[in-house]
Amino acid sequence: MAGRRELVPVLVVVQAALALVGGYWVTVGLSSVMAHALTFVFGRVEAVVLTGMLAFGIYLLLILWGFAVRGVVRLSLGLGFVGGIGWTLPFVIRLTGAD
Amino acid sequence: MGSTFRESMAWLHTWAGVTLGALLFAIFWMGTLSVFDREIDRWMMPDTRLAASPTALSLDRLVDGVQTLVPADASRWQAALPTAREPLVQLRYADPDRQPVTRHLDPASGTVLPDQGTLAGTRFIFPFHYNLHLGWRQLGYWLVGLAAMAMLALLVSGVVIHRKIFADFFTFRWARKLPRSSLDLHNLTGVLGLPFHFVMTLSGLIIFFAIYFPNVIESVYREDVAAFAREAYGLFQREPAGQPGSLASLDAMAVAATRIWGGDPPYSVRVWHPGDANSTIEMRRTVARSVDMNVDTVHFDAASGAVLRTHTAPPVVHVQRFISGIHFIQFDHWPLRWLYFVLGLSGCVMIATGYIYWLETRRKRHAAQGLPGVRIVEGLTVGGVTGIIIATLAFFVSNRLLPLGAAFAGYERAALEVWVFYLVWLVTFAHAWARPGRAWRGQCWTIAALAVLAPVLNWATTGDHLIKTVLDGYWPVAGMDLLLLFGAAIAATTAWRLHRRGAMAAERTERHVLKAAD
Repeated sequence: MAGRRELVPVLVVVQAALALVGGYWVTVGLSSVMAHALTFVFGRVEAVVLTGMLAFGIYLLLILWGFAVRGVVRLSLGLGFVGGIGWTLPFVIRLTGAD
Repeated sequence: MGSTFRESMAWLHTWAGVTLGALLFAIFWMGTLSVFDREIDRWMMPDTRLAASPTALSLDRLVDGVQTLVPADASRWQAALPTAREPLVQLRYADPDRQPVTRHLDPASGTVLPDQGTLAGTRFIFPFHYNLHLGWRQLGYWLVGLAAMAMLALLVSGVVIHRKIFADFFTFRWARKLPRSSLDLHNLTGVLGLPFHFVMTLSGLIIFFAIYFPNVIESVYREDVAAFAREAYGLFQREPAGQPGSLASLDAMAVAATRIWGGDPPYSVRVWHPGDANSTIEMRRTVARSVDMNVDTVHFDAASGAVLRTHTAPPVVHVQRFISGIHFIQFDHWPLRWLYFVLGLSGCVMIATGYIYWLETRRKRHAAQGLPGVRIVEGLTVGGVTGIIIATLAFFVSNRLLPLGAAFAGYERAALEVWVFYLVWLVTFAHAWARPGRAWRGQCWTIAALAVLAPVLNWATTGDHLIKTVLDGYWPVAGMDLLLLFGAAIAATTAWRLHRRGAMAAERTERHVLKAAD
């Protein structure tokens, strides 16, 4: 029990770091995909600027969720899944020549 | 962190505030002062206290003064033209060592004003607000970005954890005990300034989206990232021809640009590759007449004066520039400028009272359990709140004490002023940790003394005393002196109240001891 109590602050720091760094990593991935997708709707300069503005909203939501979610494992899985999609899609698009 | 969403947000609110509060206070404080950065410039650069020129500025005559300063092989020079808040020409170029130089010219005569040897408001206080003057790998931008994201999280979590947000708006029990009154003031300033603080923080981030999310540009533009700057902001230049070229009338180009912009004049002129046959003149439209920081640009061929290119931002870029304009407040609107100043100060009060509440609700418990938390955070709070105010005032006082051309240990006057700022700030932290409990009072007295000393020194060194500047209606300097004296009065009152509170507490303790001895 004492060991578990000592672990709590470490887990809290890990969760906070995950929320901040992992949240940023996921936002970078998602915003790259979003910028690509928006070029089909707007001119490329507008797609970039709009995504650049919206990215802060995505990051803020991820930070809030990262601090609210119960458990580091659940947070890691969530960030890993969404971030994985965000980081993989641009490569797939590039490989398939869909851009 | 918490078993419910509200508890998690309370945890986030507390710890984000405690760990980043001092940095947030510094950013808010410098941002608030930046609202009057041009006025601070006038105060710190006495030779630039010019009356508005009665005649229209001649750019062609200005070129003569510029050519005496700018090296012959300079790739460009830029002149920011006089405005209502800055009645002089600000010239920027690179010296032969490629170091940036800023000089001022009198728009009426075209003469070059003596170097004022200070970074003042526009080149120290304003950049501190967004990059902390930490240039290494843009560390300052990233720290400010982190603090800004924390501020957004603090604002959202603050709303979530308040069950009675509407009632908090009308509640300030100033006569109650310190934890209660500080929490009331924290809630009041937080709720009152919530829209302003949220918009300012988010817009501050959006301005620098290219730094925080460079991947967005790279993902679309790939290797040609420079194309983004061309398409978004109208950047354009030609390769130099290597042949000498002439310069057509800049005044005629300004008239042409004004016609293109429907009567709006240019606010800046940039000459690319001066003296070259392929030299280009870039004129940017004034931002003084609308909220948005437009990027409307006209490029002229320097030799013929023919229009080469015009640029207007696409709609989404226009939105981004509008959001930037809300943050920068470069448009002429004095009541709104003062409102920004007051709401900026309310943000500072909100951060400071948040810290005080945290300290006062834990002081007894930490003392009883022998925990160092309160002592550490109290030092951080005092140094972060009153410390940066003292450092800023020391910056102003050193500006009036150091003679023009002063140098020490290889540092010029402008650098010495900055050293004074940082050293004094460091000392306030040391003082706060060395004298827990008494540091607040001592630093409040120091603020009061320095805030009185600054206008006195301004009078002694320039002759511009408060009565003279008020009677002359020279408000940049009069306003600065008045605000300094007002600040001194608030600081002295606070110090006196803290002194009385300390004396009463000591008296109570003495009475308890005597009673126990009986």
